Amino acid sequence: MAKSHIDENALFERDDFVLATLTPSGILLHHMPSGGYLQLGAAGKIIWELCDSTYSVGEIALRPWGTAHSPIGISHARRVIGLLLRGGFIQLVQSQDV
Amino acid sequence: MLLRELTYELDPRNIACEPREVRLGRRDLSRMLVVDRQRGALSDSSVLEICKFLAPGDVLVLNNSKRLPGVIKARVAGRAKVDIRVVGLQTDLTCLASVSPMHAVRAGSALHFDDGNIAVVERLDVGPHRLCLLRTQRGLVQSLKAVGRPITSFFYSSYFDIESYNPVYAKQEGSVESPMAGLHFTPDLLSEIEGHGIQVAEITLHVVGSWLPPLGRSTCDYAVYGEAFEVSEEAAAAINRAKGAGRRVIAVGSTVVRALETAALSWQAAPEPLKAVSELFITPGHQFRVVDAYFTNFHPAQSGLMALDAAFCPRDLLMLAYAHANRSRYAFLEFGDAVFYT
Repeated sequence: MAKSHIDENALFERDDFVLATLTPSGILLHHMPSGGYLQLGAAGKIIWELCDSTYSVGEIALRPWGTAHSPIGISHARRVIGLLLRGGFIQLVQSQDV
Repeated sequence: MLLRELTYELDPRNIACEPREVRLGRRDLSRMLVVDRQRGALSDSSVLEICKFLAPGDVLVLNNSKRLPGVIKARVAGRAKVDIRVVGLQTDLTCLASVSPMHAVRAGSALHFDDGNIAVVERLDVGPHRLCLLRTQRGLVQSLKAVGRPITSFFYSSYFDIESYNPVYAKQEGSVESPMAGLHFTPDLLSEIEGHGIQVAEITLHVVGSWLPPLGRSTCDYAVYGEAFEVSEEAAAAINRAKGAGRRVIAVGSTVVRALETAALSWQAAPEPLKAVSELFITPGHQFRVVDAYFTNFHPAQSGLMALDAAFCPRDLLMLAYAHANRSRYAFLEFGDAVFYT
């Protein structure tokens, strides 16, 4: 799925077969079935945690992060969610147009 | 001691990612590095040769705690997905657990398991690791067995069956982590050991929270969670016999070391049966009262287990052993090769 096609209203959920460990700057994920790893920074960690099937991509994009508490932003949210989706770390649970 | 003093170089290829029965075909085929503390010498051997390093009358002490799955998926109020990682079972209805992520969790939140059971968050921010106290509506152990998964190292290649994490002699349910050093032993090897006149005794210590990270840079910054243990009459008698005959008490795994050294603090003259809770965190400087030799695995750098190892074996020799093991391609961590401190 191309990142530009990730709908703002889509809901995603973390896959059951992912192990996560905190790092000094964010989080490191291990998708056991594929053996894939993905390292995310502080904003990426928040995005990963909010993929719990209740926050839409648009809502995630509005969440503040970092010392400046600025919003994550829709393009960054879409980019990280695209990476997570391609690696099998999350799954789509609901979307209007995906 | 600063944790960075317990750091070592590890080639990622030396991390064992699968149980020995998968990686080697059998549990007792691991290599074993023997660390002779008196001579300051290292020798390469194998677990199957352990009898060469034991003498008739010695007592090998095993922890028979049986591991249950410790991770369970849940939904907060039936929606937001969370992972519950049990730190320690308190009763069959209550446990301390790490819940992740926490943004949807409040005191009083209902966490719905896949088997229909519900855990209510009774307290938040328990202890320095900010754990949750959960109370389930029905038996927690039953839910863990039905829909739980084993607590799994980040580097394992898959989820393995819970029995892959349990020693062959495990029988007392109560841990969600296991005494992994015992995984090297097979019924054949234990028979051979007993056939050499070595006593085999069992104690029980239910492991709690050994995966929780340190809270600072020093071994003083570890939070200790109480671990229930029991030294049976038979085990106390076996230890007494060995000590009386001038033979050695050999602990299989750090949990046995903790249980016996805790028990020894309350023993008057001779070892006695005891049921208690251990809050002993063993660091360099600890005076060992019971354990004379210690069989274990290669532990993660900067961990509480490494601190215990450094208490039992002089740090310089310990670091030498780890460097040798890394160079010699020993397999590290829970499913890896063994190290025997004599």
